[in-house]
Amino acid sequence: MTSDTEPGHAGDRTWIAELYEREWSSLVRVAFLLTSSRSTAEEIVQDAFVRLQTTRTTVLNPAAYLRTVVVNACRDVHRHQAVVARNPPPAPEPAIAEHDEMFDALARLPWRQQAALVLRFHVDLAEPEIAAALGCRPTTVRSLVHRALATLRKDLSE
Amino acid sequence: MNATLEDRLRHHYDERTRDIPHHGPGLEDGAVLRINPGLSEPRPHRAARVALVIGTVAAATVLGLLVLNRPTDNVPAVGSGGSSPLSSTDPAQALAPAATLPNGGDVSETPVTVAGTAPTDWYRLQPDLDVAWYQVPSGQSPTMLCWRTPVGSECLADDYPGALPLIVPTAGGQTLVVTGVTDGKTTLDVQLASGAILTAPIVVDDTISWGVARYQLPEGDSITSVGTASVNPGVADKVPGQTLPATVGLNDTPLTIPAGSELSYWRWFADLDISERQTAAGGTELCWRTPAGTGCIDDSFISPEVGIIPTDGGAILLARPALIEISPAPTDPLAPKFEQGPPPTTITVTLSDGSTVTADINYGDQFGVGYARVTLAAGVTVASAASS
Repeated sequence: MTSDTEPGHAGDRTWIAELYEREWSSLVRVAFLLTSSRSTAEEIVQDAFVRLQTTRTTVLNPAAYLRTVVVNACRDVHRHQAVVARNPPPAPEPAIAEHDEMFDALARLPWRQQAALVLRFHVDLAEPEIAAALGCRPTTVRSLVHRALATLRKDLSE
Repeated sequence: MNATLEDRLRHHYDERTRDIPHHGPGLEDGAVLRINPGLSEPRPHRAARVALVIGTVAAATVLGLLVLNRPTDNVPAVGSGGSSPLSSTDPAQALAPAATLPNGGDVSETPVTVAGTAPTDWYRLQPDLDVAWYQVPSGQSPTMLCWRTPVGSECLADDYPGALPLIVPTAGGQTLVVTGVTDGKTTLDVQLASGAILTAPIVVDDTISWGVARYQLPEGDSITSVGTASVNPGVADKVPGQTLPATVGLNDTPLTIPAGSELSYWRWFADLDISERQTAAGGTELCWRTPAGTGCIDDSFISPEVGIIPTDGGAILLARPALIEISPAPTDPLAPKFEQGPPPTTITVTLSDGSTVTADINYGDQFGVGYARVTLAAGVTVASAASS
């Protein structure tokens, strides 16, 4: 549990540093896969840690809390990009210039399906954990993953 | 061997994140890092999850193709149930036709769909089975698929999802099953009304790639389903009473199907098949099949609520962690409002005779729902249950 009123939790440099060490890379990878921007991903994750450290609430699982914040932030970026896409798009970063068949197929999926695939196949989360991050039921996660795989399989002509 | 789609996805993600370091900026040199084990080798749950997703794909194939075959080395088809009669023909040896069709002038060398109102150009698929296709010239009617054997003939509309698999009677009391997709497999399972499962070789026609499997059914029996007999015994668990019979066409993984779809079961235990289906109201129902019967329960139970499924000699109780409201509610718009509580460990059951029993909850790797079993004396039922 975290609380900025409790010693040794939020506000405690050791506690937040350990969480940072343990989760930073995983969270940046998730954010990068969902935004296709390394700088945006790092910014989102940094911001998530700041939000966690400054929250005045109590949570059982800080890592899950962070993950939800990151996924929600990525969703906001995605929505923003959808608006930007109506105008002349900015030049892609080098990291995402190397599009391939899989990249393009994934990009065509609905955002929630993309997020479910990343959390399932890259982070190896269980369905209940993915559900918590996406704010849906575990059974919905299963449907999201199943439909995403079916679409990919069709698009990639497997 | 081709990589599965899931493996390709993992590789794609790994490649794309290859340049992301395993620690964030600002850490002191020499800091001991504890990298999320999910992102470094080994990945302990991956094998099981790969199997699960491969199963999902296989299940989707079941739904999409209607017809499934099985590896040649899986003989005979055996399900997990101990209460079902099982039998099979020898998969290595096909039955011979009991009678053949005459070589009439209407048999064509090539399979063609003719314009007309009746079949004219038959294609010989087996010595005792001809098929033909025709379509009314207006184009408004579907293509018709016709068959004839020494004992009869019929024409069927071949519109979506198609007339295959086609089950036709032939001479000598034999039954032929015509499949459209053989996918290199050499045997086909059928389930009979009696519960028995028969396996027979598929004879594939090189020209149209359709396969024909030939069965000798017991007198008075009939084929109820065609597919792959499940060899999955379900999750190992001590079953207090009867098990479910072997069956054809089970999913390899739990799969949520759209509202209104026909139930599509996955074998969880030897006495429990489940099928998750969306409801028209937007929820999900968990439908079950046990030796005690069938039914559906709302799939939204969370601790302390318990899903109760009757089975032979007892009940199976399902539990999920509670959702706990984060308090005080975060003001951060990106923050979650609820979080998952710790998984419940026990279920307290109140029986219809007024007594109370407790059971420990087990968590498997495949389904994400905890379960416990209670055995019940004759005439006693579960009145209520709560997890904690």
